[in-house]
Amino acid sequence: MKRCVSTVLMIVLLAFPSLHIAMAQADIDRVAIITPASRTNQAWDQQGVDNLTAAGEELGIDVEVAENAGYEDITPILQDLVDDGSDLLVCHASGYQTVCPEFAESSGVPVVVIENPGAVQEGLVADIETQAQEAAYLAGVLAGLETKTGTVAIVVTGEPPTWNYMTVGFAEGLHSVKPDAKLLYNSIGEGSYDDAAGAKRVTETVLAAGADIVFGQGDGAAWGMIQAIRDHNEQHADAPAKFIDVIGDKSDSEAKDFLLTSVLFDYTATYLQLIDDLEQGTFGSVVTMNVENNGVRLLEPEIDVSEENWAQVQETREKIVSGDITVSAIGDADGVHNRLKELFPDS
Amino acid sequence: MNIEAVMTAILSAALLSAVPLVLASTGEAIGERAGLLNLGTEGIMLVGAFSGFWVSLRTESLALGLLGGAAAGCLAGALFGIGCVVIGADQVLLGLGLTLAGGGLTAFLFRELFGSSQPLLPTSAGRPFNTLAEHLPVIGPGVFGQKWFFYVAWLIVFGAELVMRRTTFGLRIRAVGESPQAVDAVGISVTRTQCLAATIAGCLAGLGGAGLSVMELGFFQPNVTLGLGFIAIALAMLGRWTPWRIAVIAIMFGLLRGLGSGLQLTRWDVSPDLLQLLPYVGVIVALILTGKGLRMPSALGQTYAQRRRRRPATGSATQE
Amino acid sequence: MVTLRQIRPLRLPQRFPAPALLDSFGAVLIALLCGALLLIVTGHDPVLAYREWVERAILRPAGWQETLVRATPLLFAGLAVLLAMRAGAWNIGIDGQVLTGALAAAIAADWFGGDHRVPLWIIAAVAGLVTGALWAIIPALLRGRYGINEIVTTIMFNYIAMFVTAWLVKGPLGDPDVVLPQTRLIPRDLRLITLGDTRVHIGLIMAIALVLVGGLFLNRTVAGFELTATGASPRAARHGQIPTGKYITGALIGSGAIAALAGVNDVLSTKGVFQGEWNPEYGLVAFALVFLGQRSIIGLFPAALFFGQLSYAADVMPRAAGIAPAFFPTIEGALLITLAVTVWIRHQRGKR
Repeated sequence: MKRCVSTVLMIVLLAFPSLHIAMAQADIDRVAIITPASRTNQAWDQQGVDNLTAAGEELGIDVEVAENAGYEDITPILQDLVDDGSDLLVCHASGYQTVCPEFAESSGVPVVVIENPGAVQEGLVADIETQAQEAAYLAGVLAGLETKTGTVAIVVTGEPPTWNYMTVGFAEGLHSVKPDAKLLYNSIGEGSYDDAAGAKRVTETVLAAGADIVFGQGDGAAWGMIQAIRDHNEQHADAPAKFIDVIGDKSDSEAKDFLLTSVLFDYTATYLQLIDDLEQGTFGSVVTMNVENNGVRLLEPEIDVSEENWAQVQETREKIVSGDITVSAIGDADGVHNRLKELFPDS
Repeated sequence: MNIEAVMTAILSAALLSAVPLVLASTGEAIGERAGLLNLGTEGIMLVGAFSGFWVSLRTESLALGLLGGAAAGCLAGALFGIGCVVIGADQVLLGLGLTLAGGGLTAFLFRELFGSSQPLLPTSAGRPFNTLAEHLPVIGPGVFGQKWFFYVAWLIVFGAELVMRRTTFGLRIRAVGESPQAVDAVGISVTRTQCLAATIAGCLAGLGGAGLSVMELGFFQPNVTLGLGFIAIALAMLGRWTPWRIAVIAIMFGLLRGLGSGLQLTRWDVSPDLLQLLPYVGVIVALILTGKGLRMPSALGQTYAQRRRRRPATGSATQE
Repeated sequence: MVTLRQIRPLRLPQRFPAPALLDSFGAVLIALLCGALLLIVTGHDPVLAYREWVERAILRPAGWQETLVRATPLLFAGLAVLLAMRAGAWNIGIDGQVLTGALAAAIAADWFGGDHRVPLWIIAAVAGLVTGALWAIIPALLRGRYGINEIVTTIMFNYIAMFVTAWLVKGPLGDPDVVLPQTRLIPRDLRLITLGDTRVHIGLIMAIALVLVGGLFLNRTVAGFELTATGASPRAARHGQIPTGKYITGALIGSGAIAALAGVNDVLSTKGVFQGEWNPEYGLVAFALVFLGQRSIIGLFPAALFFGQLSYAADVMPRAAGIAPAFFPTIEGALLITLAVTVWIRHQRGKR
């Protein structure tokens, strides 16, 4: 009798996979994301929150947001989220890559970290590797094709790994189409993500130095860069400068007149996959966002860009996907400085 | 690379960014001359920045925004003055409270009003002396190519210098900070003078904050001043509470900051972090070189011991 | 010869500030009320918000435990501020001393390595103390010898500390195996041990002990008394042959060393590393809590507890109540303003 019942059950489960998934899905009701800064900063933090929210909506899962968590020990926040019923914690900052795995081990609640493949553990810790340098390479290519003055600037709000990878990728892309370009690199200050005034000053300086395309990596501070370019373009309407943003999509803002493109980070598909992994019991590996799966990609320009140039960018993308082009992945500040010196010794 | 253009940009940015600093610092100096140490300058600047931005957004007028910021600063300064002088609150405590409350309230309200959007103000503003800019390299565009508020601000600072140095009112302010009993004995209201000084200080700090959000940046973000108020306090002391000295120091501070950015563009291989040190190390060096024998206003609320309330001429006012 | 007994310093700090602490309690209530008003005016539900606060940040085990954990570095920082304040000096440089002390502790712990906890803690603490003291030396000497205002110098040293520690941890002192700029991780079993089953660690015990020692020093030793006299009335103290300059310098240096212990505490317990972008900014909170505790040693304990509570509540309540986290600095400011103003009430009461 028992064997009969279990056989029937097995047949039912096999024949109706949706039933299986429905049973597994009962496990995941709520996911949470922890971000160091405000979820309204139109950048890093907001992107993570918005993407997870979108993923949650698609799956019908609750999403909790713990923002402004800073870089203190977030363990109690994680505990609080778990107490509220979160089944998965997304630790959306490279600074959390140590504390979150430790929490996962002690609490048994799975976490997602970024940029720490060594921390991966089956069923407990998954890692997102963002190959942003690939998309940044494409941005560099576009910049090299579009620059009229031959001078391109990178302005960063500090030198965390996330920015560093993109800086190098961008430089390599620029070098591939315009090795004689002048590349200016300027860091506003350590951790100056919100230093909008500093960003504006620095951007004005690089614009004065002749840059007509600015690749700006900053969160709240990016608006300072945007204002500097707006100002500049008003004064020099004949030779306007353009802006390349990162992470988010600002094409609805006042920047739209000169937003060349943006290195978009789209976590939605990644989050969907991670939640699915958890449900399937295959959680605990490194998930990559790259140009192939469009986890990172270039925002299509709304301003005038020639068809040829954009086509060339697409071709380059194909080459990266196929492996014909490899983009260096350099995340430490010293490495960045050295690589930039190699590529553009005269800058 | 166009060295001239870069130097112009650095000079221009340094001068413009010095404006909020020098306004707030001058205000702080006036307050301190009157014996009031206001650690709330950062909060007042933020209040001015937020108010100025909000008014500009609503009225679509940059000038009204600046006035709004100044007015908000006046209010805050007056509250500080009354708090310290009439109520007898501890200056340091009240000042720190203002900083926290000002920062927190503006951030809270900004989130309430604007959520996740980032409204921007138009960046165009009249540049009255732009035609003169052509005549001199670097200094020309740097000094003459600025927006109108820049000149208004420096005029105000110049005015403050005149008032402090040449007018009776300025004399009264300085006297109150040095020897309140003497002022009291002559029959001048110490309370009124100090409150007025605090209001002016707040007004200037608020105007400085508005200058930052309305003129320099064109937007507001929570904590947009990022410690500028405290630097203003430091520069007020470094500049010996004299507006013209403060002006020079603020410009030098701005130039050193800009130099840090500029040097990053050269082939010199120094870490950006170390270059950022320039202005702060500069202040220390300046202090060491010039600071000895720095005489502070004798009655400046420096020690934790609270300054006694000044009572009108009954002869019982005491000093520590 | 004029002795100290003949000179009455204007305002001695209170050793038994019980009545004054009532003021603090009242100020807290008023600040919470102001917060509730703000919430109502902006269309939120204060009852919900405060209920979430109490439940998450106090009642849950994670709540009170984390409060104690957060209060620990604040005890160090508060003591540091108080020590300088007693001598009449303002150590605004707490933030910089915390950063440099933390980095030194992380490096020392990593260098010492080994398997034994207690020696590692001692080495790390000594490294932190020395570094914190060194970081305060220049402002201290400038103030003690030349009367150069320490507010300016210590503010500058905060910025310098930020950039220098960032540069060091990105380069020579960082963990070469990790891309993120941070020092090598101190293994969990070498960190400060936790008490029982909780998250609270013995850093709390050490902090309490240090505050008590500090209290003994300030209130029961000759040096402590002379230091207090220096702050209360420098002129009178000088008349009494007290070397005020030396005391001010010493107090600032000591203050820097103690502040650094807050950084050491964090590195050896909750963080385990020094990260390039970490800056807990204990300085402002430290001043606030010293005032809340009515500038007394005993008052440091409830005040640090309260601000530790605020710090954690700010991390969990806004999310649950749907309000902006900036709510918390706002009520902290209201608290300080209320405290400042209650002085007037005391005066009025005193006059009758």
